[in-house]
Amino acid sequence: MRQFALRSTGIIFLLILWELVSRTNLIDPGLFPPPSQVISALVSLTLSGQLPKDVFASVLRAVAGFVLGSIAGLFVGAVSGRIRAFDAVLTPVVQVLRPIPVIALVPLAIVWFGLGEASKIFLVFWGVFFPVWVSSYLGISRVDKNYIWAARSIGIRREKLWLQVIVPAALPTIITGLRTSISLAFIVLVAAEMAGSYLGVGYRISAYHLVFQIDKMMGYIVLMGALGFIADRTFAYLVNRALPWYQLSVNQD
Amino acid sequence: MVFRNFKLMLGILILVLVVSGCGRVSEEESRVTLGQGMGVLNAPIFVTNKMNFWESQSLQVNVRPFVAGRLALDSLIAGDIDIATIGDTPVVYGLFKHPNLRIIATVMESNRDEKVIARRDAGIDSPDDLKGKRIGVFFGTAGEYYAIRFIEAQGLSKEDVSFINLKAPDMVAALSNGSIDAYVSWEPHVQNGLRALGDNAVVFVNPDIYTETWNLVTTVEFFNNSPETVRRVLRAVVRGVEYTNANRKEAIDITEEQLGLSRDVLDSIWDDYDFKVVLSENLVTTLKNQGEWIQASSDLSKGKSLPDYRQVIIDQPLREILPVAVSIP
Repeated sequence: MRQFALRSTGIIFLLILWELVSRTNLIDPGLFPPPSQVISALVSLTLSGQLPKDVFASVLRAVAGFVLGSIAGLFVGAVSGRIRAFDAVLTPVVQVLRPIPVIALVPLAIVWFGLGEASKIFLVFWGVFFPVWVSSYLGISRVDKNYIWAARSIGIRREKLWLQVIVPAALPTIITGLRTSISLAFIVLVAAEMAGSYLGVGYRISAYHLVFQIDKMMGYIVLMGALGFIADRTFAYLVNRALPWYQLSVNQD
Repeated sequence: MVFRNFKLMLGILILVLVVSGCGRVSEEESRVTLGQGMGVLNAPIFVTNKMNFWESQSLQVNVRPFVAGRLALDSLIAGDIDIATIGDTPVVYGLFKHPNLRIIATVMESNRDEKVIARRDAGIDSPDDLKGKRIGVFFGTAGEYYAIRFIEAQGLSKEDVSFINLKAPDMVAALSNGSIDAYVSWEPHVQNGLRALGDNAVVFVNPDIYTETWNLVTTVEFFNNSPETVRRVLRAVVRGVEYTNANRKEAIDITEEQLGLSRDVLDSIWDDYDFKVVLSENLVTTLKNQGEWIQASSDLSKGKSLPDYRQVIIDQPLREILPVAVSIP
Protein backbone atom coordinates (compact mmCIF):
# COMPACT_ATOMS: atom_id res chain seq x y z
CA MET A 1 0.00 0.00 0.00
CA ARG A 2 2.85 2.33 0.99
CA GLN A 3 4.69 1.46 -2.24
CA PHE A 4 1.53 2.15 -4.27
CA ALA A 5 1.17 5.53 -2.55
CA LEU A 6 4.81 6.38 -3.31
CA ARG A 7 4.45 5.41 -6.97
CA SER A 8 1.22 7.40 -7.29
CA THR A 9 2.94 10.43 -5.78
CA GLY A 10 5.45 10.43 -8.62
CA ILE A 11 2.74 10.33 -11.27
CA ILE A 12 0.65 13.00 -9.51
CA PHE A 13 3.72 15.22 -9.22
CA LEU A 14 4.40 14.78 -12.95
CA LEU A 15 0.79 15.70 -13.81
CA ILE A 16 0.88 18.81 -11.60
CA LEU A 17 4.20 19.89 -13.12
CA TRP A 18 2.82 19.33 -16.64
CA GLU A 19 -0.34 21.34 -15.81
CA LEU A 20 1.73 24.20 -14.35
CA VAL A 21 4.21 24.35 -17.24
CA SER A 22 1.33 24.37 -19.70
CA ARG A 23 -0.62 27.06 -17.81
CA THR A 24 2.39 29.37 -17.42
CA ASN A 25 2.56 29.69 -21.25
CA LEU A 26 6.29 28.93 -21.20
CA ILE A 27 5.52 26.62 -24.09
CA ASP A 28 2.80 27.53 -26.60
CA PRO A 29 -0.32 26.09 -24.84
CA GLY A 30 -1.88 25.37 -28.23
CA LEU A 31 0.96 22.94 -28.87
CA PHE A 32 1.35 21.73 -25.28
CA PRO A 33 -2.13 21.38 -23.76
CA PRO A 34 -2.44 20.75 -20.02
CA PRO A 35 -3.30 17.27 -18.73
CA SER A 36 -6.79 18.45 -17.72
CA GLN A 37 -7.52 19.19 -21.39
CA VAL A 38 -5.96 15.90 -22.51
CA ILE A 39 -8.01 13.91 -19.98
CA SER A 40 -11.16 15.73 -21.08
CA ALA A 41 -10.37 14.79 -24.72
CA LEU A 42 -9.86 11.14 -23.70
CA VAL A 43 -13.17 11.11 -21.85
CA SER A 44 -15.09 12.48 -24.83
CA LEU A 45 -13.37 10.00 -27.18
CA THR A 46 -14.30 7.16 -24.84
CA LEU A 47 -17.92 8.28 -24.62
CA SER A 48 -18.14 8.53 -28.40
CA GLY A 49 -17.03 4.88 -28.63
CA GLN A 50 -14.05 5.66 -30.86
CA LEU A 51 -11.34 5.10 -28.28
CA PRO A 52 -12.45 1.60 -27.18
CA LYS A 53 -12.53 0.51 -30.84
CA ASP A 54 -9.01 1.84 -31.39
CA VAL A 55 -7.67 0.18 -28.25
CA PHE A 56 -9.29 -3.12 -29.17
CA ALA A 57 -7.80 -3.04 -32.69
CA SER A 58 -4.32 -2.15 -31.44
CA VAL A 59 -4.28 -4.68 -28.61
CA LEU A 60 -5.46 -7.42 -30.96
CA ARG A 61 -2.65 -6.64 -33.41
CA ALA A 62 -0.04 -6.42 -30.66
CA VAL A 63 -1.13 -9.70 -29.08
CA ALA A 64 -1.31 -11.56 -32.40
CA GLY A 65 2.12 -10.31 -33.50
CA PHE A 66 3.62 -10.94 -30.08
CA VAL A 67 2.31 -14.49 -29.79
CA LEU A 68 3.36 -15.47 -33.32
CA GLY A 69 6.75 -13.75 -33.05
CA SER A 70 7.41 -15.32 -29.66
CA ILE A 71 6.51 -18.83 -30.79
CA ALA A 72 8.73 -18.51 -33.86
CA GLY A 73 11.57 -16.90 -31.87
CA LEU A 74 11.42 -19.57 -29.16
CA PHE A 75 11.34 -22.39 -31.68
CA VAL A 76 14.20 -21.12 -33.85
CA GLY A 77 16.20 -20.12 -30.76
CA ALA A 78 15.72 -23.54 -29.18
CA VAL A 79 16.58 -25.46 -32.32
CA SER A 80 19.66 -23.38 -33.15
CA GLY A 81 20.71 -23.34 -29.49
CA ARG A 82 20.78 -27.13 -29.17
CA ILE A 83 21.46 -28.57 -32.63
CA ARG A 84 24.80 -27.61 -34.13
CA ALA A 85 23.79 -28.15 -37.76
CA PHE A 86 20.82 -25.82 -37.36
CA ASP A 87 22.99 -23.35 -35.50
CA ALA A 88 25.46 -23.29 -38.39
CA VAL A 89 22.70 -22.78 -40.97
CA LEU A 90 20.21 -20.54 -39.13
CA THR A 91 22.34 -18.26 -37.00
CA PRO A 92 24.11 -16.42 -39.87
CA VAL A 93 20.74 -15.85 -41.59
CA VAL A 94 19.16 -14.52 -38.44
CA GLN A 95 22.20 -12.37 -37.68
CA VAL A 96 22.04 -10.78 -41.13
CA LEU A 97 18.32 -9.98 -40.80
CA ARG A 98 18.43 -8.87 -37.16
CA PRO A 99 20.10 -5.45 -37.66
CA ILE A 100 17.44 -4.32 -40.16
CA PRO A 101 15.38 -1.74 -38.25
CA VAL A 102 11.80 -2.87 -38.31
CA ILE A 103 10.65 0.70 -39.00
CA ALA A 104 12.47 0.50 -42.34
CA LEU A 105 10.24 -2.43 -43.28
CA VAL A 106 7.00 -0.48 -42.84
CA PRO A 107 6.74 0.66 -46.50
CA LEU A 108 7.66 -2.85 -47.65
CA ALA A 109 4.97 -4.36 -45.43
CA ILE A 110 2.39 -2.05 -47.02
CA VAL A 111 3.51 -3.14 -50.50
CA TRP A 112 3.47 -6.84 -49.55
CA PHE A 113 0.44 -7.06 -47.29
CA GLY A 114 -1.52 -3.86 -47.87
CA LEU A 115 -3.03 -1.70 -45.15
CA GLY A 116 -5.02 -4.42 -43.42
CA GLU A 117 -4.23 -6.47 -40.34
CA ALA A 118 -1.60 -8.66 -42.02
CA SER A 119 0.95 -5.85 -42.44
CA LYS A 120 0.66 -4.77 -38.78
CA ILE A 121 0.88 -8.31 -37.44
CA PHE A 122 3.83 -9.04 -39.71
CA LEU A 123 5.73 -5.98 -38.45
CA VAL A 124 5.06 -6.78 -34.79
CA PHE A 125 6.05 -10.37 -35.48
CA TRP A 126 9.33 -9.17 -36.98
CA GLY A 127 10.02 -6.81 -34.08
CA VAL A 128 9.33 -9.50 -31.48
CA PHE A 129 11.02 -12.45 -33.20
CA PHE A 130 14.64 -11.33 -32.90
CA PRO A 131 14.89 -10.45 -29.19
CA VAL A 132 13.03 -13.65 -28.35
CA TRP A 133 15.30 -15.63 -30.64
CA VAL A 134 18.42 -14.10 -29.09
CA SER A 135 17.24 -14.74 -25.53
CA SER A 136 16.14 -18.31 -26.15
CA TYR A 137 19.26 -19.07 -28.21
CA LEU A 138 21.57 -17.72 -25.51
CA GLY A 139 19.54 -19.23 -22.68
CA ILE A 140 19.46 -22.70 -24.20
CA SER A 141 22.95 -22.83 -25.68
CA ARG A 142 24.47 -21.74 -22.37
CA VAL A 143 22.78 -24.26 -20.10
CA ASP A 144 25.44 -25.66 -17.78
CA LYS A 145 26.75 -28.84 -19.43
CA ASN A 146 27.11 -30.48 -16.01
CA TYR A 147 23.31 -30.39 -15.59
CA ILE A 148 22.85 -32.15 -18.92
CA TRP A 149 25.55 -34.75 -18.22
CA ALA A 150 24.15 -35.41 -14.76
CA ALA A 151 20.63 -35.85 -16.15
CA ARG A 152 21.85 -38.15 -18.92
CA SER A 153 23.89 -40.21 -16.46
CA ILE A 154 20.66 -41.19 -14.73
CA GLY A 155 19.12 -42.16 -18.09
CA ILE A 156 16.67 -39.24 -18.56
CA ARG A 157 14.64 -39.30 -21.76
CA ARG A 158 15.02 -36.55 -24.37
CA GLU A 159 11.64 -34.84 -23.74
CA LYS A 160 12.22 -34.88 -19.99
CA LEU A 161 15.70 -33.46 -20.51
CA TRP A 162 14.07 -30.49 -22.27
CA LEU A 163 11.22 -30.01 -19.84
CA GLN A 164 13.06 -30.65 -16.59
CA VAL A 165 16.59 -29.43 -17.27
CA ILE A 166 17.11 -27.25 -20.35
CA VAL A 167 13.95 -25.10 -20.26
CA PRO A 168 14.07 -24.35 -16.50
CA ALA A 169 17.76 -23.44 -16.75
CA ALA A 170 17.16 -21.17 -19.76
CA LEU A 171 13.95 -19.67 -18.43
CA PRO A 172 15.34 -16.49 -16.80
CA THR A 173 17.00 -15.41 -20.06
CA ILE A 174 13.95 -16.34 -22.13
CA ILE A 175 11.58 -14.43 -19.86
CA THR A 176 13.79 -11.34 -20.04
CA GLY A 177 13.67 -11.55 -23.85
CA LEU A 178 9.90 -11.97 -23.89
CA ARG A 179 9.42 -9.05 -21.54
CA THR A 180 11.63 -6.77 -23.64
CA SER A 181 9.62 -7.78 -26.68
CA ILE A 182 6.36 -6.58 -25.15
CA SER A 183 7.44 -2.94 -25.24
CA LEU A 184 8.99 -3.49 -28.67
CA ALA A 185 5.67 -4.85 -29.92
CA PHE A 186 3.93 -1.58 -29.03
CA ILE A 187 6.71 0.58 -30.49
CA VAL A 188 6.52 -1.28 -33.80
CA LEU A 189 2.74 -1.28 -33.76
CA VAL A 190 2.59 2.51 -33.48
CA ALA A 191 4.96 2.88 -36.45
CA ALA A 192 2.92 0.38 -38.47
CA GLU A 193 -0.40 2.01 -37.68
CA MET A 194 0.94 5.49 -38.35
CA ALA A 195 1.95 4.46 -41.85
CA GLY A 196 -1.63 3.75 -42.79
CA SER A 197 -4.57 2.09 -41.17
CA TYR A 198 -8.28 2.31 -40.66
CA LEU A 199 -8.20 2.51 -36.89
CA GLY A 200 -5.89 1.96 -33.95
CA VAL A 201 -3.97 4.04 -31.41
CA GLY A 202 -0.99 4.73 -33.69
CA TYR A 203 -3.32 5.67 -36.54
CA ARG A 204 -5.08 8.27 -34.38
CA ILE A 205 -1.75 9.75 -33.19
CA SER A 206 -0.75 10.37 -36.81
CA ALA A 207 -4.18 11.61 -37.93
CA TYR A 208 -4.60 14.05 -35.03
CA HIS A 209 -1.04 15.32 -35.50
CA LEU A 210 -1.79 16.29 -39.09
CA VAL A 211 -4.91 18.26 -38.20
CA PHE A 212 -3.40 19.92 -35.13
CA GLN A 213 -5.71 18.26 -32.58
CA ILE A 214 -2.84 18.17 -30.13
CA ASP A 215 -4.91 17.37 -27.02
CA LYS A 216 -6.32 14.23 -28.64
CA MET A 217 -2.93 13.29 -30.05
CA MET A 218 -1.33 13.58 -26.61
CA GLY A 219 -4.23 11.63 -25.12
CA TYR A 220 -3.53 8.73 -27.46
CA ILE A 221 0.21 8.95 -26.73
CA VAL A 222 -0.47 8.72 -23.00
CA LEU A 223 -2.86 5.87 -23.71
CA MET A 224 -0.16 4.02 -25.63
CA GLY A 225 2.15 4.38 -22.62
CA ALA A 226 -0.60 3.05 -20.37
CA LEU A 227 -1.21 0.08 -22.68
CA GLY A 228 2.50 -0.77 -22.64
CA PHE A 229 2.55 -0.56 -18.85
CA ILE A 230 -0.57 -2.73 -18.49
CA ALA A 231 0.85 -5.29 -20.93
CA ASP A 232 4.09 -5.47 -18.96
CA ARG A 233 2.26 -5.87 -15.63
CA THR A 234 -0.04 -8.49 -17.14
CA PHE A 235 2.95 -10.45 -18.39
CA ALA A 236 4.59 -10.27 -14.95
CA TYR A 237 1.34 -11.40 -13.34
CA LEU A 238 0.99 -14.36 -15.71
CA VAL A 239 4.61 -15.37 -15.16
CA ASN A 240 4.09 -15.21 -11.40
CA ARG A 241 0.99 -17.36 -11.64
CA ALA A 242 2.53 -19.91 -13.96
CA LEU A 243 5.94 -20.02 -12.28
CA PRO A 244 5.46 -19.16 -8.60
CA TRP A 245 9.13 -19.85 -7.76
CA TYR A 246 10.15 -17.24 -10.34
CA GLN A 247 8.12 -14.40 -8.81
CA LEU A 248 10.95 -12.57 -7.12
CA SER A 249 13.09 -12.25 -10.22
CA VAL A 250 10.14 -10.94 -12.27
CA ASN A 251 9.41 -8.24 -9.72
CA GLN A 252 13.02 -7.24 -9.59
CA ASP A 253 13.17 -6.38 -13.31
CA MET B 1 64.08 39.89 -29.82
CA VAL B 2 60.77 39.94 -28.00
CA PHE B 3 59.95 43.27 -29.62
CA ARG B 4 60.71 41.87 -33.08
CA ASN B 5 58.39 38.89 -32.46
CA PHE B 6 55.69 41.26 -31.29
CA LYS B 7 56.00 43.31 -34.51
CA LEU B 8 55.86 40.11 -36.57
CA MET B 9 52.70 38.93 -34.82
CA LEU B 10 51.10 42.35 -35.15
CA GLY B 11 51.88 42.30 -38.88
CA ILE B 12 50.30 38.86 -39.29
CA LEU B 13 47.23 39.98 -37.35
CA ILE B 14 46.78 43.07 -39.55
CA LEU B 15 47.23 40.94 -42.69
CA VAL B 16 44.59 38.45 -41.50
CA LEU B 17 42.15 41.27 -40.75
CA VAL B 18 42.72 42.90 -44.15
CA VAL B 19 42.32 39.61 -46.03
CA SER B 20 39.16 38.64 -44.15
CA GLY B 21 37.78 42.14 -44.78
CA CYS B 22 38.38 41.81 -48.51
CA GLY B 23 36.49 38.52 -48.57
CA ARG B 24 33.31 40.07 -47.22
CA VAL B 25 30.54 40.97 -49.61
CA SER B 26 29.57 44.58 -49.81
CA GLU B 27 26.04 43.86 -48.60
CA GLU B 28 25.66 41.85 -45.42
CA GLU B 29 24.88 38.24 -46.23
CA SER B 30 21.81 36.64 -44.65
CA ARG B 31 21.29 32.99 -43.94
CA VAL B 32 17.83 31.50 -44.41
CA THR B 33 16.56 27.99 -43.93
CA LEU B 34 13.79 27.26 -46.40
CA GLY B 35 11.49 24.25 -46.17
CA GLN B 36 9.95 23.19 -49.45
CA GLY B 37 7.05 20.84 -50.00
CA MET B 38 7.76 18.56 -52.94
CA GLY B 39 5.36 18.87 -55.83
CA VAL B 40 5.01 20.35 -59.30
CA LEU B 41 3.46 23.37 -57.65
CA ASN B 42 6.85 24.15 -56.10
CA ALA B 43 8.53 24.46 -59.51
CA PRO B 44 9.44 28.18 -59.20
CA ILE B 45 11.30 27.45 -55.96
CA PHE B 46 13.14 24.53 -57.57
CA VAL B 47 14.15 26.98 -60.31
CA THR B 48 15.20 29.66 -57.82
CA ASN B 49 17.38 27.10 -56.05
CA LYS B 50 18.89 25.66 -59.19
CA MET B 51 19.65 29.05 -60.76
CA ASN B 52 20.77 30.29 -57.35
CA PHE B 53 18.83 33.53 -57.62
CA TRP B 54 19.39 33.75 -53.88
CA GLU B 55 23.01 34.72 -54.46
CA SER B 56 22.21 37.99 -56.19
CA GLN B 57 20.20 38.93 -53.09
CA SER B 58 23.14 38.08 -50.81
CA LEU B 59 21.25 35.16 -49.38
CA GLN B 60 22.69 31.86 -48.26
CA VAL B 61 19.72 29.54 -48.40
CA ASN B 62 19.72 26.12 -46.83
CA VAL B 63 16.92 24.20 -48.54
CA ARG B 64 15.19 21.32 -46.76
CA PRO B 65 12.75 19.13 -48.70
CA PHE B 66 9.53 17.75 -47.17
CA VAL B 67 7.13 15.19 -48.60
CA ALA B 68 4.34 17.72 -48.08
CA GLY B 69 4.03 21.35 -47.09
CA ARG B 70 2.08 20.12 -44.05
CA LEU B 71 5.26 18.52 -42.67
CA ALA B 72 7.30 21.65 -43.43
CA LEU B 73 4.79 23.54 -41.30
CA ASP B 74 5.77 21.49 -38.22
CA SER B 75 9.39 22.54 -38.72
CA LEU B 76 8.39 26.16 -39.21
CA ILE B 77 6.39 26.18 -35.98
CA ALA B 78 9.24 24.48 -34.13
CA GLY B 79 11.66 27.15 -35.41
CA ASP B 80 13.83 24.73 -37.41
CA ILE B 81 13.18 26.63 -40.61
CA ASP B 82 12.52 30.31 -41.28
CA ILE B 83 10.30 30.19 -44.34
CA ALA B 84 8.37 27.35 -45.96
CA THR B 85 6.35 26.71 -49.10
CA ILE B 86 2.99 25.36 -48.00
CA GLY B 87 -0.51 24.97 -49.42
CA ASP B 88 -3.37 26.89 -47.88
CA THR B 89 -5.03 24.03 -45.96
CA PRO B 90 -2.17 23.29 -43.53
CA VAL B 91 -1.84 27.02 -42.81
CA VAL B 92 -5.54 27.26 -41.91
CA TYR B 93 -5.23 24.24 -39.61
CA GLY B 94 -2.02 25.59 -38.10
CA LEU B 95 -3.45 29.03 -37.37
CA PHE B 96 -5.88 27.53 -34.86
CA LYS B 97 -2.93 26.44 -32.72
CA HIS B 98 -0.18 28.81 -33.80
CA PRO B 99 -1.64 32.24 -34.64
CA ASN B 100 1.79 33.70 -35.48
CA LEU B 101 1.95 32.17 -38.96
CA ARG B 102 2.10 34.69 -41.79
CA ILE B 103 1.81 34.40 -45.58
CA ILE B 104 4.12 36.71 -47.50
CA ALA B 105 3.25 35.64 -51.06
CA THR B 106 1.44 33.12 -53.19
CA VAL B 107 3.73 31.63 -55.84
CA MET B 108 1.26 29.36 -57.63
CA GLU B 109 -2.46 28.89 -58.10
CA SER B 110 -4.07 25.80 -59.57
CA ASN B 111 -7.50 24.25 -59.74
CA ARG B 112 -6.18 21.04 -61.31
CA ASP B 113 -3.27 19.97 -59.11
CA GLU B 114 -5.38 17.83 -56.76
CA LYS B 115 -6.96 14.82 -58.42
CA VAL B 116 -8.76 11.60 -57.60
CA ILE B 117 -7.24 8.43 -58.96
CA ALA B 118 -9.13 5.14 -58.65
CA ARG B 119 -9.00 1.49 -59.64
CA ARG B 120 -11.41 0.49 -62.38
CA ASP B 121 -11.45 -3.09 -61.10
CA ALA B 122 -12.85 -1.78 -57.82
CA GLY B 123 -15.96 -0.88 -59.79
CA ILE B 124 -15.11 2.80 -60.17
CA ASP B 125 -15.77 4.30 -63.58
CA SER B 126 -17.31 7.60 -62.55
CA PRO B 127 -17.09 9.85 -59.46
CA ASP B 128 -20.49 8.55 -58.27
CA ASP B 129 -18.97 5.09 -57.89
CA LEU B 130 -16.81 6.34 -55.00
CA LYS B 131 -19.71 5.76 -52.61
CA GLY B 132 -18.77 3.13 -50.04
CA LYS B 133 -15.15 3.01 -51.22
CA ARG B 134 -11.88 3.30 -49.28
CA ILE B 135 -10.14 6.51 -50.27
CA GLY B 136 -6.58 7.40 -49.25
CA VAL B 137 -6.12 11.00 -48.15
CA PHE B 138 -3.19 12.80 -46.52
CA PHE B 139 -4.95 14.46 -43.62
CA GLY B 140 -4.23 18.11 -42.92
CA THR B 141 -3.24 18.86 -46.53
CA ALA B 142 -5.05 20.46 -49.45
CA GLY B 143 -5.76 16.89 -50.56
CA GLU B 144 -8.09 16.43 -47.59
CA TYR B 145 -10.01 19.62 -48.32
CA TYR B 146 -10.26 18.76 -52.03
CA ALA B 147 -11.44 15.22 -51.20
CA ILE B 148 -14.27 16.55 -49.03
CA ARG B 149 -15.32 19.12 -51.62
CA PHE B 150 -15.13 16.51 -54.37
CA ILE B 151 -17.44 13.97 -52.73
CA GLU B 152 -19.81 16.76 -51.65
CA ALA B 153 -20.00 17.83 -55.28
CA GLN B 154 -21.20 14.26 -56.05
CA GLY B 155 -23.95 14.62 -53.47
CA LEU B 156 -22.12 12.35 -51.03
CA SER B 157 -21.06 13.04 -47.48
CA LYS B 158 -17.97 12.13 -45.46
CA GLU B 159 -19.88 9.20 -43.98
CA ASP B 160 -20.57 7.70 -47.42
CA VAL B 161 -16.90 6.83 -47.94
CA SER B 162 -14.00 5.61 -45.78
CA PHE B 163 -11.16 8.09 -45.70
CA ILE B 164 -7.83 6.54 -44.74
CA ASN B 165 -4.95 8.74 -43.67
CA LEU B 166 -1.91 7.96 -45.82
CA LYS B 167 1.25 9.87 -46.62
CA ALA B 168 1.27 10.79 -50.29
CA PRO B 169 4.15 8.51 -51.38
CA ASP B 170 2.53 5.48 -49.69
CA MET B 171 -0.72 5.93 -51.61
CA VAL B 172 0.62 4.44 -54.84
CA ALA B 173 1.59 1.17 -53.16
CA ALA B 174 -1.69 1.01 -51.23
CA LEU B 175 -3.71 1.52 -54.42
CA SER B 176 -1.58 -0.93 -56.39
CA ASN B 177 -2.10 -3.78 -53.91
CA GLY B 178 -5.80 -3.03 -53.49
CA SER B 179 -5.66 -1.83 -49.89
CA ILE B 180 -7.57 1.24 -51.01
CA ASP B 181 -9.89 1.79 -53.96
CA ALA B 182 -8.86 5.37 -54.71
CA TYR B 183 -6.78 8.22 -53.41
CA VAL B 184 -6.72 11.98 -53.58
CA SER B 185 -3.38 13.68 -54.02
CA TRP B 186 -1.29 16.16 -55.89
CA GLU B 187 1.38 15.73 -58.55
CA PRO B 188 3.69 13.83 -58.87
CA HIS B 189 1.74 11.22 -56.88
CA VAL B 190 -1.20 10.98 -59.30
CA GLN B 191 1.13 10.43 -62.25
CA ASN B 192 3.03 7.81 -60.23
CA GLY B 193 -0.29 6.05 -59.60
CA LEU B 194 -1.13 6.16 -63.29
CA ARG B 195 2.26 4.68 -64.12
CA ALA B 196 1.71 1.86 -61.60
CA LEU B 197 -1.87 0.97 -62.58
CA GLY B 198 -1.80 1.62 -66.31
CA ASP B 199 -5.18 0.98 -67.94
CA ASN B 200 -6.71 -0.04 -64.63
CA ALA B 201 -6.53 3.58 -63.42
CA VAL B 202 -9.15 6.25 -63.82
CA VAL B 203 -8.56 9.90 -62.89
CA PHE B 204 -11.19 12.48 -61.94
CA VAL B 205 -10.66 16.22 -61.70
CA ASN B 206 -13.21 18.84 -60.73
CA PRO B 207 -11.72 22.28 -61.40
CA ASP B 208 -14.78 24.13 -60.11
CA ILE B 209 -14.58 23.26 -56.42
CA TYR B 210 -11.25 24.59 -55.24
CA THR B 211 -8.36 26.73 -56.41
CA GLU B 212 -5.30 25.78 -54.43
CA THR B 213 -2.68 28.35 -53.51
CA TRP B 214 0.98 27.55 -52.85
CA ASN B 215 2.46 30.07 -50.49
CA LEU B 216 5.61 31.38 -48.89
CA VAL B 217 4.88 31.21 -45.18
CA THR B 218 6.88 32.52 -42.25
CA THR B 219 6.26 33.53 -38.64
CA VAL B 220 5.65 36.97 -37.11
CA GLU B 221 8.87 36.51 -35.12
CA PHE B 222 11.04 35.87 -38.18
CA PHE B 223 9.46 38.72 -40.13
CA ASN B 224 9.89 41.19 -37.26
CA ASN B 225 13.52 40.15 -36.72
CA SER B 226 14.52 39.98 -40.37
CA PRO B 227 12.23 42.11 -42.56
CA GLU B 228 15.02 42.84 -45.05
CA THR B 229 15.77 39.13 -45.43
CA VAL B 230 12.11 38.51 -46.23
CA ARG B 231 12.27 41.20 -48.95
CA ARG B 232 15.36 39.59 -50.45
CA VAL B 233 13.71 36.18 -50.45
CA LEU B 234 10.73 37.67 -52.26
CA ARG B 235 12.94 39.37 -54.86
CA ALA B 236 14.74 36.09 -55.56
CA VAL B 237 11.45 34.18 -55.85
CA VAL B 238 10.02 36.82 -58.20
CA ARG B 239 13.02 36.18 -60.46
CA GLY B 240 12.43 32.43 -60.12
CA VAL B 241 8.82 32.76 -61.20
CA GLU B 242 9.74 35.03 -64.12
CA TYR B 243 12.37 32.54 -65.25
CA THR B 244 9.92 29.62 -64.89
CA ASN B 245 7.38 31.35 -67.13
CA ALA B 246 9.93 32.59 -69.68
CA ASN B 247 11.88 29.32 -69.95
CA ARG B 248 9.37 26.49 -69.92
CA LYS B 249 11.76 23.82 -71.16
CA GLU B 250 14.49 24.61 -68.65
CA ALA B 251 11.98 24.90 -65.80
CA ILE B 252 10.53 21.50 -66.70
CA ASP B 253 14.02 20.00 -66.79
CA ILE B 254 14.74 21.36 -63.32
CA THR B 255 11.42 20.06 -61.98
CA GLU B 256 12.02 16.67 -63.62
CA GLU B 257 15.32 16.47 -61.76
CA GLN B 258 13.58 17.16 -58.45
CA LEU B 259 10.50 14.97 -58.77
CA GLY B 260 11.54 12.17 -61.08
CA LEU B 261 8.56 12.70 -63.39
CA SER B 262 9.32 12.39 -67.08
CA ARG B 263 9.57 15.58 -69.07
CA ASP B 264 6.69 14.47 -71.34
CA VAL B 265 4.38 13.99 -68.39
CA LEU B 266 5.43 17.32 -66.90
CA ASP B 267 4.92 19.03 -70.23
CA SER B 268 1.38 17.63 -70.47
CA ILE B 269 0.34 18.94 -67.03
CA TRP B 270 2.45 22.11 -66.89
CA ASP B 271 -0.38 24.38 -68.00
CA ASP B 272 -2.49 23.26 -65.03
CA TYR B 273 -0.27 25.50 -62.90
CA ASP B 274 -0.39 29.27 -62.87
CA PHE B 275 3.01 30.30 -61.56
CA LYS B 276 2.85 33.89 -60.36
CA VAL B 277 3.79 35.93 -57.32
CA VAL B 278 0.59 37.47 -56.01
CA LEU B 279 -1.40 38.32 -52.94
CA SER B 280 -4.98 38.25 -54.12
CA GLU B 281 -8.49 38.21 -52.74
CA ASN B 282 -8.66 34.52 -53.78
CA LEU B 283 -6.19 33.71 -51.00
CA VAL B 284 -8.29 35.42 -48.33
CA THR B 285 -11.45 33.72 -49.60
CA THR B 286 -9.74 30.30 -49.71
CA LEU B 287 -8.43 30.68 -46.17
CA LYS B 288 -11.81 31.83 -44.89
CA ASN B 289 -13.72 29.01 -46.62
CA GLN B 290 -11.43 26.41 -45.15
CA GLY B 291 -11.53 28.01 -41.71
CA GLU B 292 -15.33 27.75 -41.78
CA TRP B 293 -15.11 24.15 -43.00
CA ILE B 294 -12.78 23.18 -40.13
CA GLN B 295 -14.98 25.04 -37.66
CA ALA B 296 -18.01 23.09 -38.85
CA SER B 297 -16.38 19.69 -39.15
CA SER B 298 -14.09 19.43 -36.12
CA ASP B 299 -13.76 20.70 -32.59
CA LEU B 300 -10.35 22.22 -33.31
CA SER B 301 -11.78 25.73 -33.09
CA LYS B 302 -13.89 24.92 -30.01
CA GLY B 303 -14.48 28.14 -28.08
CA LYS B 304 -12.54 30.21 -30.58
CA SER B 305 -13.66 32.54 -33.32
CA LEU B 306 -12.08 32.37 -36.76
CA PRO B 307 -8.95 34.47 -37.22
CA ASP B 308 -9.09 37.58 -39.37
CA TYR B 309 -7.45 35.96 -42.38
CA ARG B 310 -6.60 39.31 -43.93
CA GLN B 311 -4.30 39.94 -40.94
CA VAL B 312 -2.53 36.63 -41.60
CA ILE B 313 -1.19 38.08 -44.85
CA ILE B 314 1.78 40.44 -44.73
CA ASP B 315 1.52 42.39 -47.97
CA GLN B 316 3.91 45.29 -47.32
CA PRO B 317 7.15 43.66 -48.61
CA LEU B 318 5.58 42.41 -51.84
CA ARG B 319 3.79 45.74 -52.30
CA GLU B 320 7.22 47.43 -52.22
CA ILE B 321 8.88 44.96 -54.57
CA LEU B 322 6.09 44.25 -57.07
CA PRO B 323 3.11 46.56 -56.41
CA VAL B 324 1.10 45.14 -59.30
CA ALA B 325 1.12 41.70 -57.63
CA VAL B 326 -0.90 42.82 -54.64
CA SER B 327 -4.61 43.11 -55.29
CA ILE B 328 -5.95 42.87 -51.77
CA PRO B 329 -6.90 46.12 -50.08
